[in-house]
Amino acid sequence: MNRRPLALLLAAALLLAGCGSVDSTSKADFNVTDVMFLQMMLPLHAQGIELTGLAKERAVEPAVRDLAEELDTVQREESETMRGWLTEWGQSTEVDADPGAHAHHGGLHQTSPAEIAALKSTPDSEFDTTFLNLMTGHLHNSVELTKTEVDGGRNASAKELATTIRESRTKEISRLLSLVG
Amino acid sequence: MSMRSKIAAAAVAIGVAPLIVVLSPAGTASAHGYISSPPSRQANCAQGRVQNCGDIVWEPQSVEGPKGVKNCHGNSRFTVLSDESKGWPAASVGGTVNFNWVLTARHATSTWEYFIGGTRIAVFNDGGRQPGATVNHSVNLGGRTGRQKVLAVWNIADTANAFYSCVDVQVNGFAAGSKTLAPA
Repeated sequence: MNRRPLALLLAAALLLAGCGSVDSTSKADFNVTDVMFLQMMLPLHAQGIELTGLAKERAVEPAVRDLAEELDTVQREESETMRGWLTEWGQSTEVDADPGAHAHHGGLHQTSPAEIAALKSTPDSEFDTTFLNLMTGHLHNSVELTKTEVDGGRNASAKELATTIRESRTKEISRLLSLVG
Repeated sequence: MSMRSKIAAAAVAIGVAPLIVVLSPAGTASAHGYISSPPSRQANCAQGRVQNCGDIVWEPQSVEGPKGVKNCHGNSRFTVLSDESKGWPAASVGGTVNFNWVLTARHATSTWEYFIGGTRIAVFNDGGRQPGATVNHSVNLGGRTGRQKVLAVWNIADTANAFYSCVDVQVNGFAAGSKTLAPA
């Protein structure tokens, strides 16, 4: 599946719309795809941290809790790195990720507050299964988001991070699936 | 309103993120869903229990095809999922199975269907609603025993497409809801 045309189209649309435009006086070498990737991955990670935060407290199986702790740490570290780059590049670290704004499409591909609320109210007997399924879906969305960056990003560090996220989350999905199955 | 002005209006109104939504119909299909437990064939590939599955390991949620298909790959490019020579592991289950779905996009849903050997053994009608945070269905296998291949289909309400998951199970004859095996 070739994502390049989509990435180019996105980049073109962003420029057209005057969105995510980059400060040409900056010394850093980056493009609109890099900025978009970071601005979209940050809220996704924030939702992931909410899920892992709950699982660190409530998961019944030690293996589930251990994996939640690992994921919690890696998402926090990556978020700090991504925020650092955006700040260094003079770009906003905020993006409107309100899932309600995209309800016509079945919601933006992310973990909505409703899902996090559902996990909160899940009884202990069903908690691990619910967490594993939600987290797996969440990580698939993270992997999907890396594709436009790998294809259309310019900044070497951001592209490297996208590749790392794609590969490491795929391994973690494998572990989540072995725990749920 | 032209596509260009729609994009610009959307961007001005709500920022960068919606552009993905606006533009994705013109690009390749994005992620959706599959059965995680008992493990579907794509879950066994993504988990590494079955090797040499190809690209499906990166996106087990993307087994999408037209509605009404009766194979494990839903006429998608992931034909490996219908390859019966792959030695798919079969999960040990009782006569009633709880199927858990992983969803990455909560599309409005018409029905969830379960088939064994061309017979529909269960259907859940969502009436066009968006699925909840998690989806699981309890399905009675109708007294079948031994190795069975369950084809699960998620029919999307507002497109012509569906998502396909095959789950290989080994039904033990002693679980609730199934017939008792004759003594050997």
